[in-house]
Amino acid sequence: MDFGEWVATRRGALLRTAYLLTGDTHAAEDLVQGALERVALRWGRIVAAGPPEAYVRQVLYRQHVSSWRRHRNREQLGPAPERAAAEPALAADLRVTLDDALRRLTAKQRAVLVLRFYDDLSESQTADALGIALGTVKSQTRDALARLRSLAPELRDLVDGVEEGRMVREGESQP
Amino acid sequence: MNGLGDLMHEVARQATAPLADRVDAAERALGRARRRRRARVVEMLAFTACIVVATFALLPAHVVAPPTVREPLSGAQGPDRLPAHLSVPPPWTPDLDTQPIGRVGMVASDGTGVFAVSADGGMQARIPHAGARPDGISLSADGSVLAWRTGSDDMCGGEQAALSWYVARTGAVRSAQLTPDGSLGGSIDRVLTAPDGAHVLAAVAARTAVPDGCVATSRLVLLDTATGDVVEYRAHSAAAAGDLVAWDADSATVVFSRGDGPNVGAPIRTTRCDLAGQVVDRFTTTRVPDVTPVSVRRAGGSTLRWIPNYQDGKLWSVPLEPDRPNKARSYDLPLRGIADATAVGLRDAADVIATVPVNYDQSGDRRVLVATRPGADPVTLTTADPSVYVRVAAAGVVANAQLGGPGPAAPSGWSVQGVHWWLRSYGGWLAGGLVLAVSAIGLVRRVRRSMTGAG
Repeated sequence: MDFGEWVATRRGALLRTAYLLTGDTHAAEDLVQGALERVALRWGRIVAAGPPEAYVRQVLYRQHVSSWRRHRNREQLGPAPERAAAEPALAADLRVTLDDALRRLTAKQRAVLVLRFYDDLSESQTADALGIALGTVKSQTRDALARLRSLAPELRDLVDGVEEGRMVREGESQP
Repeated sequence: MNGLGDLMHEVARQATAPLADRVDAAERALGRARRRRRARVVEMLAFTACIVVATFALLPAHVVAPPTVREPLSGAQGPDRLPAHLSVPPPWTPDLDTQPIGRVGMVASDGTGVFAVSADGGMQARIPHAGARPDGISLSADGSVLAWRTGSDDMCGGEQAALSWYVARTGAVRSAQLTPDGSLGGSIDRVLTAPDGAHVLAAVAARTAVPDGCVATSRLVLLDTATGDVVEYRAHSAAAAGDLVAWDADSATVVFSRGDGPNVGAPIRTTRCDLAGQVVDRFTTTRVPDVTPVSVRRAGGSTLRWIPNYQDGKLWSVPLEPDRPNKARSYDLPLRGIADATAVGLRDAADVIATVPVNYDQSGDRRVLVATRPGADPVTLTTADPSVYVRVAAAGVVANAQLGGPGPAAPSGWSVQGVHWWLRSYGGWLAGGLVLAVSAIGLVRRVRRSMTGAG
């Protein structure tokens, strides 16, 4: 598979994940670009080993973790991006609310939420992708959801739904 | 992906969409917002218009503007409205028996005679009565002022019944004796001016000497105000058993009516005669309430007999047409002393205007009640203030002006009163139309939105 074709196909999805991780369009583009730089050098071997998506995402997550570790003390919230309002007013309100609330989370909390609920990774997969302990993923998830609930009461239904799903999954995973 | 994930996807998709797409979406959203705001403004304006129209239409006429003086009958050349400053200089005092019409603003009496005040406040004419206060004042249809002495109650003496009038057309003051020469005196029971303004019909009781005393003979005379000629009305014999009730302007006939006793259900016999005194037709209608008939006026093409009833406070009207028997209806007028009403008119089938002087006030002040609509609170005014009286007189003019006419016509020209008249007549339709239009627009917009899936 040609690298250029793959990037043209998957760049949007990577960019969306990166945006959720960083909360900033420009930072997301930088993050995706950095990750693609890393994989481009080894593209032949990556493709030979299997579908490249998981590997590229892994690189993206790790890059992001490195970035937040590097800039832990000077992370700043960027200006709100321009937003289109093509959907109904209610959905737009919720979207803006969520966007603002995500910006107020720490980078680690945001990353955990994105991987868990946007990319639908399991807790262990999330821990593996971010290179952190499983317990950290659990605590960060719990704290992030609690923070979301307090920052954006409008999202309470969504957060509660996620919480209930998480509890059910944890119950099923325990013997 | 769960609900939170879906929303995250939307957040990311919107934030990372190509700039052109975002601009297009933003423009579409902006257009929608503008249209929505515009529609909201239109709805608000329409709603406000409905409220204003409804409020204005429901306001009583006297709140909006003083009533218009309308042409009373054909031939009048009067102004459209009495000026508010019109007043009567002392020692003249307005006489509540007057009915100002047309170019003559009002008439007043000082106890020795009558004078007419023009619409601009200047005196037009004085009608002397040899030091005696006139017993009756009336106005003819063309604006001429009539004044008369009823004569003496002395059976075998007293003065002759005379009628004087000011001719608005020429400005002359004329007088005529209604009792025949050689009589011992007489009295005028009733004076009725013809629609053409040129004739006056008067019921006169003349006393003549007989060997053992005096007798009173009723006669009906027709006075030509242009020439001063007084002739015996030839329909007298036909009308002798009835009351002189009204001129019928449409058919140029005189209507006589008389009830057979005071009982409810007793018939009213009506005779209609032409100006020459020939009987045109006779018919009978059923008398409704057990009350004394006072007067008959014409309104809206129908001859209506208004019958005040002290007991129930109602004003009964009975159409005196042969083809509409027993169609009596009542109007609730909150007027005490309605029997003293000087002007009662029916503007249309449901609108009654009455001007009633009331003497109930123990201070001696004469008060006037003006009711414009059945069930409405009457306006109470005192005659102490001449300008107030003028307004009352104006209301009386409105009442009187409607008599014999086809009902209210639209005031000519633009004015507050004209707009109010229009709104009272059509305001309900206008407000209803506005509400329907706004509702229809809103419905169409909702349907279109639901069909396109937008919003």
